[in-house]
Amino acid sequence: MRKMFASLLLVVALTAPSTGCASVQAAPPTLSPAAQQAFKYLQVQKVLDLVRDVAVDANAQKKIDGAPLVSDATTRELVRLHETAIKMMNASTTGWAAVVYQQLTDIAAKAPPAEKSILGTYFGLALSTLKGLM
Amino acid sequence: MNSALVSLALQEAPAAISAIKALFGKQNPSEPPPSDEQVIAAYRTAFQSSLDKDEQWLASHPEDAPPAPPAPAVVEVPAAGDNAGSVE
Repeated sequence: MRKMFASLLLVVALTAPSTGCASVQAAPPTLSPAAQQAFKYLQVQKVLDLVRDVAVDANAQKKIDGAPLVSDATTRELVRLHETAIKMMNASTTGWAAVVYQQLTDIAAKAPPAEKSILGTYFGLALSTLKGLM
Repeated sequence: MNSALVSLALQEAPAAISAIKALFGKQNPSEPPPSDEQVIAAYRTAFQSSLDKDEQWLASHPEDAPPAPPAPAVVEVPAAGDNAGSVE
């Protein structure tokens, strides 16, 4: 099951555009500009939610030694970043995607190898999505 | 650790697939397109519930929890008349 899940994510990663950006689904043209923006934001938020949820769920799961799969510190950083990201996106803050991209890159860089093995694919998906918005 | 990872993967698979479909999926042409009100309401609901989830987790996992107090020192008081040092 783990191999199947990893394969699924690998297929997604490989089918993403070669520029490394994941474009969000185009909004129906019948929507007003405000609704089109909400449509786009909803899709982006799903990806950000996924990173947050995986970190939170992994933090709740314990290894045999009692330590969480993802530490409280890393999870806290990701939850805070998620909160900041969706607030900035909601406010349409200029350059919000670039700011979140950089902060997520920093978190991913300093995460221990064990946490990277769990969160790496999700980091990649989020970074690719953010890059497409920059 | 492997069983925990498998459990985590199983748990996250539906959400991951949903997010991937949202990114790369194409809308079914036979479905009527959503209205402005539907889309905006869906986004507002998702935004608020996601924000609530962040705040809930942060509130339940405070940073720098105070350290546990040191365990009290155990002082042994020998009973009266004990020959504790005698060895036969």
